[in-house]
Amino acid sequence: MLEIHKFMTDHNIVMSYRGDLTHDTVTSILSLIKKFLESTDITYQSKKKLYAIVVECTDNITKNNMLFVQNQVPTKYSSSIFCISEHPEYFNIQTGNYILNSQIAPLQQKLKNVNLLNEEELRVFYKEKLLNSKPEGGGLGIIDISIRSGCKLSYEFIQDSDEISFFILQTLLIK
Amino acid sequence: MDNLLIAATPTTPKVLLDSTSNIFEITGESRPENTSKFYTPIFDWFNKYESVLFFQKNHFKKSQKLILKLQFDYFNSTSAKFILDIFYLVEKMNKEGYEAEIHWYYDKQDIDMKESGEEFAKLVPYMSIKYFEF
Repeated sequence: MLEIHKFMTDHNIVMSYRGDLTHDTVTSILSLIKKFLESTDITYQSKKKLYAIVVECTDNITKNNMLFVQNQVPTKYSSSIFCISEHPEYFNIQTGNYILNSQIAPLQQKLKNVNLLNEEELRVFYKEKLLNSKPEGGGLGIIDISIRSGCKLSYEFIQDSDEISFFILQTLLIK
Repeated sequence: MDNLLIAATPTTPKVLLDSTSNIFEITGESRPENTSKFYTPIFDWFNKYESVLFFQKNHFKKSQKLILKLQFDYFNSTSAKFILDIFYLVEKMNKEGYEAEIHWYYDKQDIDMKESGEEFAKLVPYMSIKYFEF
């Protein structure tokens, strides 16, 4: 336990969760985040942005876990990780979750596209998606995260097996 | 016609659709577990309400201004699509000859929320949108 405590201190981790991220667990995490934000000395807008980024990041995971249930993927792959670290100039919001290898190409393309756009272009892209997307399947989340972050998104896919990989998404929010 | 009242939860807003006053309020946070399931009764209610409005206008020559009041603390990107559809619904009624306004409420510190309202407004250019900070 001391090791975990030391690791979290050394890495400025203010909140972390490992396990199955469901809508209910996310709601509990968000309630803790609200409390954390109340006591943090950052602007109102930064607080709202941090909250929104966490919602969209965790929404992506919970939706993916529902897909896993539909595809009868073993439950051990529903275990995800979520972590916020606070640094003097910025917050680092990281999530890690398993995805099907068949999901990598479209997701990677989406992330690449978003990282090529500046803020104004992202807003235009968001509006296009909003107008043309199907309900519940808009793919707006990644664009929303990128707009609110104002930084390029970092990501990595680590292959676990022929079918599954671990997807890591890192979002920075300048204070 | 019955009013529609949905109490707020930590993940869904309070909804009050009042066919007597013609005032429709959605207030709170919107990130439902199943967004479609949450918003469908709202669209169903508005569809019935349109028939009532049509009847009132044609039989009693009665028409009262409709006001949609939206006050979100936060809404996720999935909810955005449904909120836009509510804007479209009110715009449709407006185009059909019913006087309508949309009131967008936002915390005065929340510039992003104000901008979200302005972005929705651009998508319904003929609607009257009023902004209220609190």
